[in-house]
Amino acid sequence: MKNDVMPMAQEAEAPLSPAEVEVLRKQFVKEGEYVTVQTKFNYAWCLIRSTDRQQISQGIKLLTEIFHDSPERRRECLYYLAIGHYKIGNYSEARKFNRELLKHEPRNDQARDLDRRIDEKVSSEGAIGLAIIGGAVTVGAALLAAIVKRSRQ
Amino acid sequence: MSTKETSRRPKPNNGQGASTSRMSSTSSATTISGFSREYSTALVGTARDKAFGAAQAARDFLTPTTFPDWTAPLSHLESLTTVMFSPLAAHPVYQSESLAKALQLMQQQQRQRPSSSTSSSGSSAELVLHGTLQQAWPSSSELLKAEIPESNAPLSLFQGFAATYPSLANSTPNTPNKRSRNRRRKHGGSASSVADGETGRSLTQKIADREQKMKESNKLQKQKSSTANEINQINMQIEELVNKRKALESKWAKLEAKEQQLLLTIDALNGSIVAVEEGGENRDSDVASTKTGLQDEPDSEDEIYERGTCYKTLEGHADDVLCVDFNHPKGILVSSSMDGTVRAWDLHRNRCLGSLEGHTSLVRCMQLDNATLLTGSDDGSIKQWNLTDISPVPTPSSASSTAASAVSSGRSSPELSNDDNNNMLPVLNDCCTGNLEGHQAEVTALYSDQSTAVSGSNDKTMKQWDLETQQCVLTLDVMWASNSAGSGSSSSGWRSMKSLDQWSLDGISSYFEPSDFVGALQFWNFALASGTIDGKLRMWDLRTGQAHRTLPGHTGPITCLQFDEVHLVSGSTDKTVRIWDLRTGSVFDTLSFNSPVSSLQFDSGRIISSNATENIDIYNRTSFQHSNLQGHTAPVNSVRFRDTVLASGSSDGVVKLWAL
Repeated sequence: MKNDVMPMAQEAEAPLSPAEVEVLRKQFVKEGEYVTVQTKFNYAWCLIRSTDRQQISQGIKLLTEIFHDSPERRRECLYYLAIGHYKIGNYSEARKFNRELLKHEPRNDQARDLDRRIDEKVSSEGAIGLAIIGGAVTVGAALLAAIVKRSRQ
Repeated sequence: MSTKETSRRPKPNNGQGASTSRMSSTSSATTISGFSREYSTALVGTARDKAFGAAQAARDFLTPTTFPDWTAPLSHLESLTTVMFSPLAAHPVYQSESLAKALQLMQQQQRQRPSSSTSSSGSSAELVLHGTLQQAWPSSSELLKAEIPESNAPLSLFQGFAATYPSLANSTPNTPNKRSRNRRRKHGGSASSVADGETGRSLTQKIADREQKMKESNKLQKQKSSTANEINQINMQIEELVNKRKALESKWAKLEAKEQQLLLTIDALNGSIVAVEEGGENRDSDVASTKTGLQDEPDSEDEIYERGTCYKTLEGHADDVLCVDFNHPKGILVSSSMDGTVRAWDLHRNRCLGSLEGHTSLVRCMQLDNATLLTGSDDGSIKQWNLTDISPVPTPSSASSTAASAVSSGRSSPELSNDDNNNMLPVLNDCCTGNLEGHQAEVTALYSDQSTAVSGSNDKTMKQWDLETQQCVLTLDVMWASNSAGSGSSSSGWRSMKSLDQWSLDGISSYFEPSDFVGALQFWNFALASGTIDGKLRMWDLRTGQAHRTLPGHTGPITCLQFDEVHLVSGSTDKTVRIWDLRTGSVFDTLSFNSPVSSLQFDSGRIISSNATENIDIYNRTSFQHSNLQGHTAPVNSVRFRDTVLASGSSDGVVKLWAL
């Protein structure tokens, strides 16, 4: 897929300025109950690009609505939902969505790139978690050893 | 990703965060084994997420910049979750049970933790937040159960976004300056082109301009196609809704038809019950009429009657029926009679609905359009009635309560009491909506359309009324018009005809009944045609109030007329019906009868007329043949037909309905 049809995952890392977000939000709110899919997507996309978790989750919620309401847009929504969950940290969900997308479009560059990034994140976070656990375990073991020694003495 | 890396602190401070993460991860590990196998896979995923979330929470907690952010949004996160919950309430996809159980477990762990320091509360709040946030949208497994069809949209969502906000879409991750620089460059492009005007626009400049314009046009095209897409979607939705509505309407119609049928059978059963109850009390004539009435009722369910036969007789009037009118073959028929009453009949169930009280004298002429009825009476007034609220089952009037209670269903049965006084007949109150006063003598002819009515009276005038204000807006003096016209027109052949003055002085008595000054009239927009006692048909312009044309020909008072775009048909006491061609003003055809014509109506195929005999004549205009409808036992006074149903009222006091 060309780059202009779907954004690369790293574009999601670039937040918009608050003024721009406000513009999009105003448009979204202005359309009221019968908001068009495009406006909703615009707003959701800018929310997902932000660094604020709350905004990202709101963007995810909007995308879920689009997913539910417009069957013909579901395939694209998979990608954006994957990005959203990836940014928030739900790597399992992100992976599920991305895998589904890859099932339908195996040659999608952006999806493959996102898949790669998710894997990187997962492994790095796993490493962090393991490191934390390992550190804790060693500290606990050292404490235990110290206590035992003291009790023996 | 880089920002998260830099927030890491050295190990000692990690201890607390690590302990929380270790506790959550170990306890979640134990709970995994504790859960049933079905949820294990989902739980592993969620537990892992929780672990990552804990790691991230720890990391986030340690960065002082992010921590204060969480205290503030806590309060309106509640509202956020409620907002998130409510729109999704209608959606069938919901959070999975496993997630809910995991969350419960998480919260239990929070409560069990001994330390209550701000850090843990902060992180526990975060974890709870994380949990609630996770619950705020449906899980992926539920969502992915939905079908994911092939995407037919010509333009992807992102392309639409890029088209609308090109500056935002082209940005790279770490340079907001570049974005503004791009924007400035675009503006600068146009500015520099002006600056370059002196040096002459260079080729590269022109190419750059062209590129820019091409991009703009592309963007516009994309916007156009995305908007067209949305419009198509909405069109499809509209079509779906319209089809749904059609289906529901047909369903409703079927239910309505069923209900009508059931009501008819109920009525028939009621009637038979009543007949059995009251069988011994009535006289023979009533019994006979009841039987004919009852026999006719089951037949009314049959939609197809034999042509040229009377399929229903409405009895109830005590004296001659003067005029009838109805609005629909299965609707309401109104008849006025010499017994002083005006009765409304329900043609669907062939029952008298009641009498319309109000006039103090006989009603000579009436017109019924849909639900509004206009009646002109010998007391000089014209009354307007609204018949929409007449209930199909009439409630008995207070005077007839004792008599009505004998009937089990409480409905009055005119078939049984046609010679009874009005106590048995319910009075339809609250129908009269207006009164047009002004005429000084009997109102003998009436015609109305949606907003205007014209009436002719024996006070030798015709009045035009505005129905909304119920005021007379124009009075046409027939005498004056006839005199002024008569002096100018060549009336050589008409000296044998008495002038209008002499007619009126003559104490108007003719062979049958006193002739009316204005026998009949009809108007259409501003053209009014009137037939008067002198046998002349006059055309009036309602805007000027002048008669611009006179059609002489009849030798007796005109009793009925009707016109359409081409022809005017008039009937008179001279026993003829004349068909006039309005374009030439000459007689197209004359139908001769044996007795004065009392009423007529025509359409494109036939002319139906009644005269002083008991038969109704149908003249077929295409075959020039006459046929008869026999059934009445006295002269027929009025005929009205619509579609395939003809109603006739005669001096024998009954109204008959015929199938044409």
